[in-house]
Amino acid sequence: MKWIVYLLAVVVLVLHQDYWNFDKATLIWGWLPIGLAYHAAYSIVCAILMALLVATTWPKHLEKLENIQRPGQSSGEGH
Amino acid sequence: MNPWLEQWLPIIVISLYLAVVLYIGIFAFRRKTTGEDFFLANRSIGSAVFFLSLFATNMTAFAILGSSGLAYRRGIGVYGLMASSSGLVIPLTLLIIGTRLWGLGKRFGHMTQVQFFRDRWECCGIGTFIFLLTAAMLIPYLIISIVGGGTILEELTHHRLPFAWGGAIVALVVMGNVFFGGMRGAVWVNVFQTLLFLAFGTIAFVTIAHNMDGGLFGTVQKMAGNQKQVWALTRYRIPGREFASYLLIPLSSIMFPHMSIMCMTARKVTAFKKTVVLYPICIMILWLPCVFLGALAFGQPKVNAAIAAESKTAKAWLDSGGKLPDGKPAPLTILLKQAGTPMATKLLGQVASHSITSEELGKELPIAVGPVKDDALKGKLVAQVQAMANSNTPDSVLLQMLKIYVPALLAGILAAGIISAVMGSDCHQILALSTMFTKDIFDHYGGQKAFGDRANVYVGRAFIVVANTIAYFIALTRPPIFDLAVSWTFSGFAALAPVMVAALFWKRSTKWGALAAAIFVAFTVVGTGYLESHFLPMVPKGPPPLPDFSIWSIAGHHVLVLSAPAGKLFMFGFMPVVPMVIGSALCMIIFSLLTPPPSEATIRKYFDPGSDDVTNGFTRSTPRPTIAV
Repeated sequence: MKWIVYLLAVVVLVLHQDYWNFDKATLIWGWLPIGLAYHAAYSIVCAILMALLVATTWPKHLEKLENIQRPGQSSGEGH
Repeated sequence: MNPWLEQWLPIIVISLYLAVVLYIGIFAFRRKTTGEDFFLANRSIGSAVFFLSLFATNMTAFAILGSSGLAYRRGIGVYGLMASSSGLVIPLTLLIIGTRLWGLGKRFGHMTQVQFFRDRWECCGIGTFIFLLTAAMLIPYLIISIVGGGTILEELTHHRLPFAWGGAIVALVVMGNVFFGGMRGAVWVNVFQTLLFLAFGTIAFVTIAHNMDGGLFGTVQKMAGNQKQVWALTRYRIPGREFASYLLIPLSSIMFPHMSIMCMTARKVTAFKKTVVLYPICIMILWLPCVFLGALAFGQPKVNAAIAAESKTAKAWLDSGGKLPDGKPAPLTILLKQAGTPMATKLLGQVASHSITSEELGKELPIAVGPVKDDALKGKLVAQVQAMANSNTPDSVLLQMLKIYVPALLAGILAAGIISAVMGSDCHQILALSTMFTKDIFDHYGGQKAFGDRANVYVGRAFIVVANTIAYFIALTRPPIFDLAVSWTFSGFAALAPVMVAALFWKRSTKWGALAAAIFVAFTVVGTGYLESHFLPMVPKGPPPLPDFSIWSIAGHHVLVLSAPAGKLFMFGFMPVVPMVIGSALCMIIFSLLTPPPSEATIRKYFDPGSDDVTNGFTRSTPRPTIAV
């Protein structure tokens, strides 16, 4: 699963270069330029990719450090 | 609305906002604070506040004003160029680098990048060099923030509040907030700023889109059908290699000291999860309206006229009474005479008698040009105004749209939001510089041992006052060089990313590799700056498209060119960031392989999986409750 997500990340990286929209002024719904619509959709795809990366590659070992307190660190309130 | 109220309402709203920012700093004040509490809010920031604050730290004036200004000149492609690339790269760096930095802070108490580098590579002087390099690249930001804040206040008060006073107010409020509140004050201001901006930004976007001449739908349709304006709805003015280069720029984000320090403030590493996933969506919510409005502004005569009136060409036209240096009438004067509308004649009379300001010119030009019936003449007049607007650096395009299309109260709130974006990042930057100076210099060279932990806080606060005062006095001269410097520093910080990646993930990396990479970055940042400033006067000027200026070519192939008219350096069509990142990575690899690695003990300390357990004097404590905001 991890490798599929890595591969997906590479595909998303490549898809950023939408050279085919370079000089297209097609309007989606009559008001949204295709170049802008493409990258807006791309941002949503990025959020989905990040969710997949968090689910598969999260550095879980770091969570062990959450409850430690070094000497000298005051116990201030949270925010 | 009452004209008096219309003029002063934005100022009243902004004053209230500034008072709130100052109050937040004072509210966050802790009398008996420790270094860790002052500089890192005691590493206790909850996940919601962490996400909003981290996002706001990147939500700079550059993102808001700069993006719409750039879209005005280069079209909607600016979103893909800067926003969607950031939406991919920044969360990735937060996930891969940010979480590890958080872990290092928890395990070893590091607060700055240099503290980590020094310990990881067993070095002292090299750490100091990296401190100097990062501080030198961050300082222009501080100055730019004060210049930006002062300019916005001057602009919104119709020059009633001079730039010097506006800059002083911004500098004092930022200084007060950070001096009293430290990281806690900066974080709360950022949360306030993000909520304010996201809420009122959406309302302002809808209002501008509704109130602009022809409405959003009409403007887009009109531009799509106009051969001279349709480029703004495409990526036509952004070459492919430049577009590809921009994917590397967001690597700079995590390397900015205030961002990496911010990563160490989270109470739990799980706070990063929400941030990483939501970051691309927030980038879209912020950038998409800014870029879209900036591009559409090109199809709005009122906005074009307001921006054109601010240009140097327009100011020279006004100063000369509508004449060229040789005494002949300027092209705009000739065209307005031919137009012959009552308003055009009145305008020419005002220009000849020097009785009109550039702000009035911006309002009167569309009224003079609008009624012209001859399409060819009208086209020439519009082209002349757009050429003048293009000669300007139209970072004020969003402010102009606010002034023209949005009611005064909402414009005031939004302007407060824009100022808050300037100040929110400014708070973090000044605090980061103060943290770096205190930890990497004062503390490292024996200050804490000699004077105790409380001295750290006093030194940090003293540094904030001194640095901000110096930055203010430099900002008073409005040095244009810092505008350029800021654009170089993005590449510089991006090129330092390989150093951080090597420190975190490559056992064999050495201090000499880090030094070589840092020297390479310093050399290329200064080199880029030198080439751009030295050859800028030779770059062709005028309305686009213009031929680029070639600095160096081999057998007819351009190696180094400056783009026209902006004067930005490109190597084989790529931005300097590409060779800088590759060169820095190569320096890191080659010099690390040629020199001995750090001691086994140090490598074990950072890479032994067992060392993630609680060791070296760490104690477990019961989890503290997180108060969500």
